[in-house]
Amino acid sequence: MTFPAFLGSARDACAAEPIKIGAILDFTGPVADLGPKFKAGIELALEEAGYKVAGREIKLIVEDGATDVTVALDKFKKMADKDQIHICIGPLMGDAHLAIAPYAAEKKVIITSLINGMFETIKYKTYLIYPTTVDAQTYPFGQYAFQKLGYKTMITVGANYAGKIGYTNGVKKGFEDAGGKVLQQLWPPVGAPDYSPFVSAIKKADVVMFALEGPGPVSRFIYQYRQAGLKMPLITITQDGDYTPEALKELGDIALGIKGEASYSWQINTPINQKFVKAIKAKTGKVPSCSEQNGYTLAKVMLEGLKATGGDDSYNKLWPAVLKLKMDTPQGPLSFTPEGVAITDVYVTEAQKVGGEYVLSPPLYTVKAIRDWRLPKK
Amino acid sequence: MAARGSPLQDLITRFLPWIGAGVVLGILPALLPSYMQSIWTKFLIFAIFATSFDLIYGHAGLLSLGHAAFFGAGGYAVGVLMLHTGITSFWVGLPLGILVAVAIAVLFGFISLRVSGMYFLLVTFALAQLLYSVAWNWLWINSPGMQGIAGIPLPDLGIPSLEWNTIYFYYFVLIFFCICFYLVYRIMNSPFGYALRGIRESEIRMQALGYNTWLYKFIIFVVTGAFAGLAGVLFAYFNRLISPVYLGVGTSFLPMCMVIIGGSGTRIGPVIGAMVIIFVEYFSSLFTPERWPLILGGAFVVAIMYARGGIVIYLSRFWKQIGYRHGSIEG
Amino acid sequence: MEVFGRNLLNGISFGMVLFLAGSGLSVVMGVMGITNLAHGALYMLGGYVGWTVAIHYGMNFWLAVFLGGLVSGLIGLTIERIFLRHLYKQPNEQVLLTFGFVYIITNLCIWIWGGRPRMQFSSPALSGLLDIFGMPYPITRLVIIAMGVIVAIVLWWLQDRTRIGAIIRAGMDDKEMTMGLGINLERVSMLVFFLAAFVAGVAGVVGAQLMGVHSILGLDILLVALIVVIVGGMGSVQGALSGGISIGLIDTFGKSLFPQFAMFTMYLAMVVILLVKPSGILGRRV
Repeated sequence: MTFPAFLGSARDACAAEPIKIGAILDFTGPVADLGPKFKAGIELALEEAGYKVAGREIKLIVEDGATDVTVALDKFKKMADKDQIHICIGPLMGDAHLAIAPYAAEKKVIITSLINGMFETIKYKTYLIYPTTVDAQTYPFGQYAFQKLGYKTMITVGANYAGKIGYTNGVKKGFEDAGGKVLQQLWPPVGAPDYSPFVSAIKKADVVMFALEGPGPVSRFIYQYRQAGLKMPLITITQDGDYTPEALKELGDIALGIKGEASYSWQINTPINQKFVKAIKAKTGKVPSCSEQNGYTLAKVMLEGLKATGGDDSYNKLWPAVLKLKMDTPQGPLSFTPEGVAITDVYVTEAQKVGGEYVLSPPLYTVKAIRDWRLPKK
Repeated sequence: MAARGSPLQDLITRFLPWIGAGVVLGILPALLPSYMQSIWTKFLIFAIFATSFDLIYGHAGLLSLGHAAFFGAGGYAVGVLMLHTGITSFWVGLPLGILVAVAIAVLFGFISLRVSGMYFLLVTFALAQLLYSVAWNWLWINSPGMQGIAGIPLPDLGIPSLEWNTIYFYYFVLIFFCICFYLVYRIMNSPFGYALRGIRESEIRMQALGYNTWLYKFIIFVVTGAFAGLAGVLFAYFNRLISPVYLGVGTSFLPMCMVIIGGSGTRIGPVIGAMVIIFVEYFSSLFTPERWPLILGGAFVVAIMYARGGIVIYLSRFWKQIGYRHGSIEG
Repeated sequence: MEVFGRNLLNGISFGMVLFLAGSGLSVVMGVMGITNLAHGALYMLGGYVGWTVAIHYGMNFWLAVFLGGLVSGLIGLTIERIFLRHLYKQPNEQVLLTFGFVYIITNLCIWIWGGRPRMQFSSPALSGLLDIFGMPYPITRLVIIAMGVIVAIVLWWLQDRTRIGAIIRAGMDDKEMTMGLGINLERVSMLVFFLAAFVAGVAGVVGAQLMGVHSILGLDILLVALIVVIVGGMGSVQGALSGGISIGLIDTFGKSLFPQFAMFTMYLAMVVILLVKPSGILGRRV
């Protein structure tokens, strides 16, 4: 739908041009499962808005980042230079954030994270970090492990790249700030075909926390851990791509009973979430994991921001408008700090077997309004 | 030979390729949109890289499977310089990048040239992967929290009033491209160049003639490393990101493709190959980005099997047919 | 002590996968003088085919192993017959050609099977633990060791004890002479190439029990196989076996004792061999 030509004032001519929203998602590589999920979430939000906001059409441009920082940067450059986008949802991986942020700041494009964000990008003032930074997301879980689960000592096994290093460090800090002690930290390289050397190096502690880069490594690790006969309880981060419905099905019984931190569970009992779950089930046939939710909420954030600016997607107008938003999302309440970091709730969940199906449990515990401890206090 | 034309005709046919190149490389980019200009810049950088590979493969006959090691090393030097000292001056970055690339080439040359034939291939491949692995793990040469170095700014030339934009950077790279092109021509046509081609044809014969073939191979190995390092330095400033990927086999493969498709052992073959590959990659990114490796591999296989001389051979035949008598394009 | 025993068996089982992955490459290099860089891609292809048979269609695991090998073998043979054969006496072009096929095969695999990696899979019959001197040890790994031993014996028997093997070894030393004796070296070369690709495909399925299948395997396994060839020496089954086991042990013990150098142990071994004995542990000549 376009405006009739005879209404031509300069403002109308501008309004006739669609707002381009870019998205860098991963359809190939270790997290290839997640690309279509994010896309489904983003598309649902845009569909609900009729692909229009403030009288302007919305055009969604989706590119495959291939889980490769160089590809993500290339795609971003193309969208910024050639397609002239001012909004980009994604990419997923922390190192891609770090690579793209300086360029995005130069080109005045607002970018969002997908699962969490890198604290170092805050200084560029164009990065929306949602649901929060990598470390802050798991900090409460570290506290939970000490205070509520009663563990006093911990060993961490974290895949050796930005995302999981951040998770692990967040848990460690939360655990130690609460009074616990991390005895040993192992860092298997990404894509390690064999975890047995690392498993055999694990010393004794009250609990072993692991954070690995996808359902494949997670299953390999748990499998080899159990094969080695180790008895210490396991905890992990139960979100991202590790605990999608498909991943839970492949993991099967070995994932049961392992508690973890997650930013979302489809079983959250609020009307807005139930409506969302129903819509995603209708669209994709499966219940949502945090991927669909994050895509959906981020797109909605952009839409609300654009509504507030009257359809102006330039950075100078849109960025402050987004920072002022306060919304209810399927995941919980959402607002932003002045630096662009989202303030959200986080939950503890686990894998469950319900009626023969493997699902993510409802929240076992909720931490409200987490906020990265490094940000200046309000 | 075609019949001789008038002296004026002769002059025109002799200089037409150069005029054509001047227009295409010099004038055309200024008329293009900004994103296309950056594609042209990428093509020039890879033309330098491909030319350096052709020196070692097309002229010396050594198949170095890990040539990106030198390319990436140059780029990393620029990145590490910025990361740890904050220096973004081009006049420091360029010599440092070439120096680091040369140092790596000296080291790798020593190790690889201990073996020959099949083993040489394997060792150059494995050494480049080793460098990749080092770059992945050595925290000091990585931006915190990631693999590689992000946020490399455009080079500081020390000219206070200069504000970079895409076309300025393009012409900047073009200057280096012309310098390299000329230098390669001088090397190819020097006694050294002829000796190299002799070694490619038959190393034993050259040894019988008293040449220290190992030294010649070692020197060209290091020289091509320097050129590749130069390309890497320009690439780091262009791409704004250096990553272990640019040391790895995927990046080593590109100049191989360009040289084979364009025509190895010639002066403009690698340049033409670079143009073809970069532009096909661009078009592929618009329509079928996920099939690009298939297209690349397929074109490569076809070129090896059926178009051995590369595009240059077809061009040179075409040119001869219309009366070009400036000798051969072969340097 | 238990840690040592576990690492030892892990290193040997991993080493067997490396041997299976590298043996075909090594023999083709030594016998036919062809460096088949697509060897890793053939491994990966076999793994994907095996996954389809064993998981997608739920059929017998050993059938999956066989079919994985068969498909890789046929693809390898196709590459040899249609492409490589015409590049006789042009070793550089042959290498380049096979490199192009890495890209082609990898992208075709992504096209067919999608970008999502496949988790490790095995035969349900092998999923338990066996008690070895009081240490519970996974049966799949023991089976991998057994398979490696069987394949090594079969290949070695072919190489050293049969007429075909003698022909191959003769052809390796002096091609013209062998052909001059009226031996159809071309047919034998075809067989060798097919066999090498077949073993690569088998290795892909066997290795999938440990590593699963993903689209970067083509290059990852190639690198590992090349290191096995460099360290063990090219051209012989015993070379590939010694290289595979050595690297498997070095990698496993290295990761366990020095986890911070996890990625380097293989390369270190390679560089040491290159400096000390470039032809490899059991290699014949430089």
